[in-house]
Amino acid sequence: MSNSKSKSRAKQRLWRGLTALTAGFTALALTGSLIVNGFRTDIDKFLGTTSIRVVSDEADPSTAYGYKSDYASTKELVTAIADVAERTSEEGSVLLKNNGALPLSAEEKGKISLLGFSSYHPCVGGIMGSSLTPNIGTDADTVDFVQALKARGFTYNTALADMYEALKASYSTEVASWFGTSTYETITAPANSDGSFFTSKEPSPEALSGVNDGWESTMDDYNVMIVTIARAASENANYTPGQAGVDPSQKLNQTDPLGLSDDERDLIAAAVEAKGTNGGKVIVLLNNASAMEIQELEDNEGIDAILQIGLPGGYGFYGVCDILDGTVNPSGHLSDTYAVSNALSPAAQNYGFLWWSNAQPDKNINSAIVEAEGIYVGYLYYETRYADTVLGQGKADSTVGSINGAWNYANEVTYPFGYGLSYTSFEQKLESVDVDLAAGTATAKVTVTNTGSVPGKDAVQLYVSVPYTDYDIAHGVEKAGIQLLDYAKTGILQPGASETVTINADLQYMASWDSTADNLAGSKGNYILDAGTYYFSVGNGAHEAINNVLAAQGKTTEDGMTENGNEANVKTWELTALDDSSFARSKNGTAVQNQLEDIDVNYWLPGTATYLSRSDWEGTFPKTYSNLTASDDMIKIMYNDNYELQHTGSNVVFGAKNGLTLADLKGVSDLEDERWSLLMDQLKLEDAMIRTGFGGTSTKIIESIMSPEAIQNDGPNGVYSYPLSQYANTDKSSGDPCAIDADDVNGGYRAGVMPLEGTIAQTFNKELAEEYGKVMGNFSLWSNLAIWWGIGVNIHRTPYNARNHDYYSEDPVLSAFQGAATVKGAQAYGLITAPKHVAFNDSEANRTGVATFMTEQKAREGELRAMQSCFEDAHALGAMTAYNRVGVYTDNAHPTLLKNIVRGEWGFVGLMSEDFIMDPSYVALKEAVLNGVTMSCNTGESTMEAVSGYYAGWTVDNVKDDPELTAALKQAMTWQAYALANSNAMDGYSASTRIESVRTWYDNALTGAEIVFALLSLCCAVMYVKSRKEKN
Amino acid sequence: MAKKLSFGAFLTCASAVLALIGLIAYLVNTGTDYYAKMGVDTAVVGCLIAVVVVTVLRFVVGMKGNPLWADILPVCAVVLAVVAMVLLLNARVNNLAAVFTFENSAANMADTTSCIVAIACCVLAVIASMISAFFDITKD
Repeated sequence: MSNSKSKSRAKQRLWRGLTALTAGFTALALTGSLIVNGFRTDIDKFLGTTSIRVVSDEADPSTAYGYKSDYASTKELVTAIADVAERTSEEGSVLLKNNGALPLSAEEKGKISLLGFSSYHPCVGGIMGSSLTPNIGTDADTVDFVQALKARGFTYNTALADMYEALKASYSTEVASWFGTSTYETITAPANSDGSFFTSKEPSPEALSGVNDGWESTMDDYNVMIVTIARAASENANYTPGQAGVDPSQKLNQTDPLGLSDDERDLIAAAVEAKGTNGGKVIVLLNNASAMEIQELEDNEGIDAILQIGLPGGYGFYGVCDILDGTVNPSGHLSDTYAVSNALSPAAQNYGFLWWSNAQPDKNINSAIVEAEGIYVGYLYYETRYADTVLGQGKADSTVGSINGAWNYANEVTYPFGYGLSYTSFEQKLESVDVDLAAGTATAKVTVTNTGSVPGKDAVQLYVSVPYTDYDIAHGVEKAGIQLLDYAKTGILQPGASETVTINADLQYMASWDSTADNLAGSKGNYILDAGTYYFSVGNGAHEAINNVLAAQGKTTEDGMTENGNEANVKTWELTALDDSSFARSKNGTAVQNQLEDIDVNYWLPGTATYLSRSDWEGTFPKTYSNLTASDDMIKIMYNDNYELQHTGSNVVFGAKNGLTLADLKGVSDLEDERWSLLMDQLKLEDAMIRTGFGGTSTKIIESIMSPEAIQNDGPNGVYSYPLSQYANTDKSSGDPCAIDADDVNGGYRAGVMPLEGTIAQTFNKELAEEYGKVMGNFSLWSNLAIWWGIGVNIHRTPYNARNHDYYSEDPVLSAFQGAATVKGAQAYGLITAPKHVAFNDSEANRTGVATFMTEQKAREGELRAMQSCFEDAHALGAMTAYNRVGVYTDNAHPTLLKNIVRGEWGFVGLMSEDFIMDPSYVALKEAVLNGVTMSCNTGESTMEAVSGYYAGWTVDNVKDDPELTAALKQAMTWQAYALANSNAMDGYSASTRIESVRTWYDNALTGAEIVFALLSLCCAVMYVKSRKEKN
Repeated sequence: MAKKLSFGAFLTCASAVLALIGLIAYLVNTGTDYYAKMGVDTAVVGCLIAVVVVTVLRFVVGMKGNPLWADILPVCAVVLAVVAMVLLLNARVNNLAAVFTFENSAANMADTTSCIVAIACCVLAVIASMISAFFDITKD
């Protein structure tokens, strides 16, 4: 080829290449623009931009702001959050053992030796979910243990700190992902996979000596030895019960992931041994959310004190320090039973990855959990079986489920539910219990006297023991021997001082579900109160309370009681005949009836499961139900297409022009107000279909009714998804009393700083739980974050759920009342507060797809009771549903749970989101909408094309003539609009408000790129053609 | 005389192979337990097939000469590869977010391998086809 030809061809190649390059970038910009529209909200969140502007013509825009903060500045706000968090830790940490070692003297504060790597790298939140993002450079910076010790004037052994620092590589955990390796210096929770296990990371004393062979002697001058033992918590993680849950490569004599390893034992032993020479103290801190197996620590006389501190969040270690030095007196009580062997509990027999024999993982048909323990979870099992051993009934003392030999409470339980020590002593006297069945209340008066020498608070726990009768046995109704009915906390009592606490308990929580009973609906299933004697008592935990009841029944240690009870602290109430009318209607007047018969595995596979009954502990103790085979009928339902669209025509009105906006309904809590139906008539069917299908991360603006975008935030450790300034109003002329300066020092503050829910529960303090809600409500006003998935009300069915940190307790009443108090506090400031996960998401194992089976009695008296008060009493405006199946239906598609119980019996009115389910078939959108779900968690472009592309068949043509589904769509959006209208999401909105689109810098950049690259592409193409002509 | 293949020929082959691997990986991915529920995005499949066809065609035609119409093929290849890449990302971004957070498990991560391979191949196919557009198939 000649040079000229070659040069010419080279030019052509150049221009062709440049044309291709620029055309490629043009295509990238164009397609990128389309994608951006689908993820605009999330992009705005990430970049801190905004794509809309709310414009109002109000003369005084401040009138559009209905909610007022309690604080005048963000400094006051974050200081208040820190204060509540610290006090929660103070009242929620539980002193389990103390031989007088605590509190520390002023001199001892200067002699701290911290042992265990978790002293330096504690679990302050979840590894994933409710994790703490430290706040630095704000007016309320978060602290870890060491920082808190320093701040509170403690002095600690730096030689040990240096030693642990040098060993960091040995206890760090690296988690590989596609995006690189994350390193955790805290202990971590096992992955959420079948066969995953816990690996002990505690450096052994030998390993410590390898760094500093004189480390023990460094404690001679720092002889207050604090050993921190931690177990991590995390969403999407799971502990496997027993030996199978422990790293098989480690030979550390660890029999359970929640038990101790030899390295941990040896460390404690080394501290105890050192005490022999340095004359100091050994104090163990338990840094955990799942109950650990610590009988050996209780038995170890060398350990002077044990303090359970939960996961303390960002400020909780201030509270821990204040307990250590006696600035405050501990008043926490356990929210879970600490069993000697967790794996022996009846619930643990059916936990984890129990696969269907005919699993179809590609259809999310993976495993089934038969919750064969029935109502007997946690102390409801241990204390009931204990009572029956004393009463000599139900073969309670058989060997089944026992540590060794005949079942004996003293061998099975280390610390009972509700137990906790103080630096002082209290005497509680149950003065009276007045039962008013017509009003549905039991009013208890309890006088608490501080009989010790230092001030302190005490928790009053009111328990009830209900009759277990022949009727119950004949009708399959189970009764716990003792159950928490209500509780309250005293103020600070000075030595010698008394306070009489009045508790107005709700009697419905001592009623039992009888699936065979007649009801007012003319079917079966009702709440009953048996005829017989009801025993009310108080105590430092459930065990003391049942002992009191047993004493009232004439029992003593001679009968096998662990100790004699106090008969004087028991009040009785007689019911002469079985009552099936007092709670036959829910509080909103709905007649109750069986709604969940299909979640009993025996409904589908008759004769499969035997549920635990106290009438025969031995014969009914759960066996493990694995490799069950789902029938064809079950499989069909588990394919998640259970509603056939109708095409009979719909007269549901959409798209009317009534001239209303949601702002006209601001604060209107009466859904019967005619304006609601007029407003919602304006809604377009497309709006309802798009917003239910793509409801993730925020409620988007619906212009037809002028409903606002409201940002969703996760919890429960605070409103934690975004920093304060992400959506805060920085326009101080807007009339917003919570507008901030653009350079506010607290702009980066994240509010996910609270101690985790177990600690909140352990306070037994509803007022404090409400205060938590209030500070979060205030935070939402300043941050413009209006929706909070903040109340985890699944119960601690077993300690093995690594996500127990997001939930309160094994007890439903404690869970419900703490949750309801927080809902009440937060919603007073317009924060839509959502309990989650409705319902039965009590395990993370195979959570997308796991079929959860149980009796209706267990469902209603367990997890449903744990959330009922949040809706019935606190009127939560939000709810989040669950990943798991309820029976064989996906939670969202279950035909009655959400529609008939949550919305029906409990009267829930508000928005209801699915959890983070991405699988469009598992979303079960049409079924979910029919059940009252208002949004899935998916995101996408706000067009019918996009939503129809995601959900097969979700088209206007398919839906518009279905009268049931169109009505449900409108109803769902009405409930959602109602929640928004009664929240601070409407702050700044008035009847004249309109929404204007705003072009963000990235919109401009993309448009610019499209134009520039298109022009360049065109130019290059022209140049190419020109060069081609030159050749010719 | 046999024509010598240029660097561009290798890149063109590479882009076709990468697009093909990306296509196969995507189809494998759509058959995994986790991603099967998301269905098959025909636009992604179509674009990737088109990239392979266009690139192969370019290679074959390029071996014989440089007709004007043939020079549009590399431009088409780049545009198609870019569109395939973006559509694939769009189809998978929510799932990736879920798998790396709420639905993280060994099984789901294993299912995601093919997704990551598909996306990586698309990105590399885009780069290879862009660079190859600056070269002829044969040397002058």
